[in-house]
Amino acid sequence: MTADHQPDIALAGVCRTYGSTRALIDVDLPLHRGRIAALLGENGAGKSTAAKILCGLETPDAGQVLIDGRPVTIAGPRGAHALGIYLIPQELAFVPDLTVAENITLGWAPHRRGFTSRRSMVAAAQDQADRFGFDLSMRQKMKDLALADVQMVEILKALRVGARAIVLDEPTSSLTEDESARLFAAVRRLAAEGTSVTFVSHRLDEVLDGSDQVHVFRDGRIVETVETAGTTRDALLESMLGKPFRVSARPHRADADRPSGLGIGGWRSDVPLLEDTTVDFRAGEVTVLYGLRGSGSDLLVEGLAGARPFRHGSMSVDGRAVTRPRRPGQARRAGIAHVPPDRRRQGLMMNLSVEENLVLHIRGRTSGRVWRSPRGESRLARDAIAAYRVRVASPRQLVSELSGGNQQKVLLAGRLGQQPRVLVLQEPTRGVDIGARDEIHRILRDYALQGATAVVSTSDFEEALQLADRMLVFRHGRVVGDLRGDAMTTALDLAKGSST
Amino acid sequence: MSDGAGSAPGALGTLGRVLTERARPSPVIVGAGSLCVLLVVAFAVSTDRFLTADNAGVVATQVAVLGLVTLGQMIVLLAGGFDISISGVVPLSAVLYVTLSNAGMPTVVVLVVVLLAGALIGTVNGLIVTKLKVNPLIATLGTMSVCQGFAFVVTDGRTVPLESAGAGFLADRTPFGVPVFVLVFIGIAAALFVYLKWTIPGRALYAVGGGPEAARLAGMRADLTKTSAFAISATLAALAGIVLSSQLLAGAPSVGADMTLTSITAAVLGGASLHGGIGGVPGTLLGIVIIGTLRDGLALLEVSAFYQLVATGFVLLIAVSMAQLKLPARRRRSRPAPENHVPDKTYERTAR
Amino acid sequence: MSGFGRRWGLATASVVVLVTASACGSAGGGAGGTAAPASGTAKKDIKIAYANYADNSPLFAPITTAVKTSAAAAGMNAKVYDNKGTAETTLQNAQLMVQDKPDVVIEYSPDSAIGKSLFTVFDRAGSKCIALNVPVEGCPWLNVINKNLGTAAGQMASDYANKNGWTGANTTVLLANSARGGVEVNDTVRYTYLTVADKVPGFTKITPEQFTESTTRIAANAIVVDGGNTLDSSFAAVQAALQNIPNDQNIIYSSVNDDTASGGWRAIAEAGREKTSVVIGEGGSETALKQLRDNPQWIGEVDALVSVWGYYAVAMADALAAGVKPPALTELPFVALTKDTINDYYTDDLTSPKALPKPVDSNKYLFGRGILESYRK
Repeated sequence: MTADHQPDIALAGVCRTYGSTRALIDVDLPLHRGRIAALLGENGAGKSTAAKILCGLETPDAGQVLIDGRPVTIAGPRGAHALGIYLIPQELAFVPDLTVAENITLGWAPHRRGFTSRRSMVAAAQDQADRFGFDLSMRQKMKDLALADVQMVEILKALRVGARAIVLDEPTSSLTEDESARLFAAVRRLAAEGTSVTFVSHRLDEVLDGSDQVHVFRDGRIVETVETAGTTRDALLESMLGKPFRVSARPHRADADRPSGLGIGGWRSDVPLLEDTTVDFRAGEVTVLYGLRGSGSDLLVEGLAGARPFRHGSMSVDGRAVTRPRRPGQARRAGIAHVPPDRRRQGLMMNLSVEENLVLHIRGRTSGRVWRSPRGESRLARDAIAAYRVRVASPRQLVSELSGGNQQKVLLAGRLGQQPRVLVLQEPTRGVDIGARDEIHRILRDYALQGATAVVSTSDFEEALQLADRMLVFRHGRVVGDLRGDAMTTALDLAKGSST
Repeated sequence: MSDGAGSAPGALGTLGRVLTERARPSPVIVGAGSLCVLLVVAFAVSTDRFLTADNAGVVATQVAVLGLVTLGQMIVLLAGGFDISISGVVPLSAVLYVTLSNAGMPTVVVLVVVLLAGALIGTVNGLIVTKLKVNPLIATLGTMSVCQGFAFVVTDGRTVPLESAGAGFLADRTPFGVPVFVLVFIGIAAALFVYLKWTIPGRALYAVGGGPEAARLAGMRADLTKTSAFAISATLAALAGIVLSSQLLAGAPSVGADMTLTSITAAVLGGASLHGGIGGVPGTLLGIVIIGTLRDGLALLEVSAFYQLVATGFVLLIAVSMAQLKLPARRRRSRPAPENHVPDKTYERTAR
Repeated sequence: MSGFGRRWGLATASVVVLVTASACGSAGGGAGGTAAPASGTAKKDIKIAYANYADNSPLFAPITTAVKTSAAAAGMNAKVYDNKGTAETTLQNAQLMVQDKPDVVIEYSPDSAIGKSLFTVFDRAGSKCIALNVPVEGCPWLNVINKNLGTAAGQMASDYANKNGWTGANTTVLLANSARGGVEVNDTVRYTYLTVADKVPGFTKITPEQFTESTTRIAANAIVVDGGNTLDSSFAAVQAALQNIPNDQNIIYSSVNDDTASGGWRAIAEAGREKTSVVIGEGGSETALKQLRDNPQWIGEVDALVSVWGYYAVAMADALAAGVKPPALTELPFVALTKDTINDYYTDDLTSPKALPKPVDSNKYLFGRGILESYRK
């Protein structure tokens, strides 16, 4: 019905190539006022590139951007703003030490003869928030805000000049369930005011809940455009992956013959909340901890790694009792290796070479406590590069020069080099292309099959399904489901607390 | 000077590439190296006194004192810190050395005591930075002031002559024509080179400086590593103070006041990053030699002190800009074919 | 809303109080040292205030001590302040000083540029003022004339050269100035050279204007280097400069103060050229006087007698309070000491001279007031 009208903004026959990669191939994307469009796809499918072209961050190699049917050239973000198109990026830019009101009115603060008053600024910002029904405390500092609220502030900033289109890039990637719900409620009101809203996502649940229309991207093309109301999860998943998705495609061994690899007993924490948790992680399998942000899954993983120590609870590795780690070093000595979620800041030394990153934590193996053995280290690194198929020009290349996928492989290989009994990972394939993602999953599964225990926390449900032998579902600081096999597809609903 | 600097990358480009492929020196080293060669050639052409054994000796002695503190500064920079306290430790150790020697303590004992005092000050710096989480700039600014104050207290503000015979042995001539401390400096530079390149604690400095959070999460003893860097730096500063007082046969609380700034300048010239994790002994030596050569050459040419200041500033700016200009070019060359380029989340690391 | 406002008001007020308190604390760091009148002497009912250049310097600290001692001996009430070498502190101290309505203020300002504002402060408060060493426009000046110090050093150098057959043909004059120290400071080395050029054959005669702060070479046998203010900076500067002086040349070395004289001399000794070189110091520090006694090549020391400046300043304050009209410039004493004359002025104690030098025209009115006479009594 609405699709018959002339679209407000559209991409027509747009192509974009990076080097030898064709990121977008002949994409037609019509966007309508008052509607919420979701751009769905796996990492690297082209959805973000399409969004960036809409907002002037990228220019198409071929094809046009049409506004009201007329071709336009969008000259950078400023040009996009002039046309009323605003991007809310994944990584938000704001001034943490200023208040909400100050951030909203940044650059257009109400003033009289050059003087502004706190009161008029707050009033102006409050008006703006009320217009869209956003509930924000204007005098709070930005740095004290929940992420969803920060995102709302960003939206309010964008809307001050009457945006015709808002594009949100992965808006919920770091939001809790409640925060996501609030954000989508706000977005819904925006659309009702007549703005065209587009959001980029790889999460089926929020696409199904939050959009009017879905454009599914795969390998640089839009493979399907459907009304959200007229489709199902399975249909979307299939068109996103390009093949029917079946969890049972992977052979599962019976779980009875697997020994306990990692046991925790009575782990609890008050702030943030994790209720008394006792779990036996089996050796030889991958256990995925799935939950929305703030549900407790990340908290537990960081506790296992000693990165955020717990105050209460017992622990055992391969059946032997060990002390609960108070520092990452203790966890390491207990045979636990940790792959943190942010590889650039928390995982790798970006100033060092690939080789050095690979051997950094295991170089003691080829030498004593003090002296390095350069030749031994080279060999270790070469072996790891070959074994994990890391694409590098030379082992001496800086790790910062690698693509995200290869960096992640270096991080993983470095940790596996420690030959840990327990491997604890957070978001193991965040920002990684599909090819590398498959390889990383395979590496992980292989390592577990050799008898190690793998514990993965991920916010990516598809990844959870692909990796898990067993899935623990977290909600509000409690384990609400312990699932295996086909039952794992219900994890999403368990995590959200809805029953469908 | 400017057109000479401009032609250097061209002339040395091939050599630079060969070196890059073999040993992968940072572009900063290639830049600093070319600048150094350029300065030597320029001074050799303009004055016949520059390329003489005597002058080499003068440059070596001047470079050695500055070099001791710069090596220390570089190590702290590597670990992601900053050491301002050098300007306090140098005068304090100088006056302590003189006062204790004059009091009749055996030279060896005095030497050990003063070096230990330096190590202690450095450890305190390190603990303040790592345990109390005070910004290194502020922490070492504080210790600098404390040390300077004590230097004044110890001598009552006066210049104290070194009267104990033999206490100035570090400035004695050796058969090689240079004073003892130049050989000591060379030994220390070699030891630090080995430490940073071939030992596990040495490499840990790079890891902790380059990725403090990553180092912590990987279970490295980041605090210990960082504290050791401050201890090394202050110990070397104490040694520099001892050398100064041996050379001057006197200790004064006013010596070494400009050493912090000069050491940071030289370390940065030699490629050390103010953000940590990048730097090394060869580059630092180049940085020191550039500063030493420049000072000496300008003095031989009898350039006025005012223009010396101007020239030093320009050289620093040129060297650092050269390194920045060369960085992207190298990156492009060595980047692998983008067979798996991800257009969605590319977090480009800003060039350090 | 009102609660909000009040909280902010309170916070702002406490910040203001804190800042003010700390500013006063730092400014008045040296205040509070009131010299108690000594009993038994005729009490002069005069209040004076003295602001020292910087108390943490060994050069200036004795001035404060001498002011306190001499004022106490004369039964005067003296308050002392520390300018800490900065113009800001000096201005703050000036405000503090006049609050006590002293009869005479003695100001040793680190910066002549603030002279006008200082004089305004003193004038408004009705206090008479004395500018010590650094001029304060409007206040009579009590000063040592660097030109005279330099000339005296040049005279000693010339005497040595003429006696030993050193001429411009076989001798190089090496001077370490303090390029960033200003024109006045460098008058010492400037007039040292002018005197040598005048008295010893073979040196190029120049005018004072030709010898500026950026001069590095006057002639083939006259070199100027920037020795800064410290031991280590003068050492490095002289070490480099020696390369440009042929080994067969004798060297006459002098500089702007004793630290740079010592540092430069170490470089000469290090180069193995001390046998054919001589040095003349400027200042009169204990270390330098010791050198003059023990080191055969340290042939002269121009002693500015800083340790007794305080007596002259207090005597001048007393004269002003008594209504004497001083000349625009009252000279501070100095003596040019050689190995032969040092014992006329010093015993084994090298920290202060055993007697004051004879009066000169401009300062003879300071004598006979009982203050200079109280020295060493």
